[in-house]
Amino acid sequence: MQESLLLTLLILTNVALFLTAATWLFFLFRREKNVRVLVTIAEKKAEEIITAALEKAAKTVTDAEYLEKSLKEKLEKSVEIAATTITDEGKQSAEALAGAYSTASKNAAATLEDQAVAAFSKVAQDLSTESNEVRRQLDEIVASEHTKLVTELTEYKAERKQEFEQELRKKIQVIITELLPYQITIADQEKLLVAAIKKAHAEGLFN
Amino acid sequence: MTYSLSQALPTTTALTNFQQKLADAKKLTFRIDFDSEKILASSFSPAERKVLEQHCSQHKLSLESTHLPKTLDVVSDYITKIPELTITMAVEPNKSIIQTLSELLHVQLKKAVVLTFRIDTSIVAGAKLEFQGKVQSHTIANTIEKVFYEK
Repeated sequence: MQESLLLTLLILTNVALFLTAATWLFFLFRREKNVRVLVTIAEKKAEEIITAALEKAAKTVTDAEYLEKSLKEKLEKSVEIAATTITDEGKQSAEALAGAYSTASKNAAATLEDQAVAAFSKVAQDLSTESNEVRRQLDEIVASEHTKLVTELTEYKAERKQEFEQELRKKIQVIITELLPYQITIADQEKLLVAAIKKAHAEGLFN
Repeated sequence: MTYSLSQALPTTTALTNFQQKLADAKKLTFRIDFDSEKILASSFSPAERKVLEQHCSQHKLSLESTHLPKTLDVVSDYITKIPELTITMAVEPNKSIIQTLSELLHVQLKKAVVLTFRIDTSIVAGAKLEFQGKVQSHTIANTIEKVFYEK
């Protein structure tokens, strides 16, 4: 183990010496070369940097495009969502409004219906009252006219009856005054007077 | 034959005339030296005097000079109190009718009644009678009207 270690150490020391020498030599020989390498490397590095920069730029562009696309998609999605949301909300609002309007309309319709019913009822009641009043007035007029007609008819009948009786009385009077006296003698008068006195006495005139 | 005053003078006209004569006779008694016989003779017809004397006899009234004024008043007052029967008839009553009615009333009523006659030809025959505010119509005209108008 120790030998391995010593060997290893020795190797390492030799390697190190070699490396040192090599390095020194390398540095010596390669100083120029290194410069050129460095230049190359620098150029390469620069090229890499440029490339990387270009790539990065390209990537950036790509990223930007991606980002743009992503943003665009997000935006579109957002817009879509927003639109959907807005649409939904609008729909909901519309539905709510529709519901509200519907309720309001129903309420308004119900109110209007109630008012219409009340108004109609009032009109019907007024008409009924008016109708009753008109009927009452008509009844009064009919009764009055009936009474008037009956009165007129009664008066007419009485008038006609009176006229008839007057005519009849005149005729009877003519018979009585123009005809009968010549048919009744003084003796008849005396007999009728006696009969009248007796009848009056019998009927209590002298009591 | 005796007559009551209302029988002898059955009409209002006759009794009024008689009552006027009683009043005239009464005036004659105002003289101091009046003679009852002269007054009675000058104031009344024989028939009227007879009726007066009968009435005074029936009612125990004296026609002597001392009582004559009072008797005349009593008789006049009696005439005033005789109830009146108004008879409306178609013709002017003659003496026969008046006498018949007077006797009939005397028999029927047994009291004095004086008759007042009114003429209304429209009643034809029979009479309308008014006595102490009561009226009855027993006329031919009335009977005819009843026949025609009563139902």
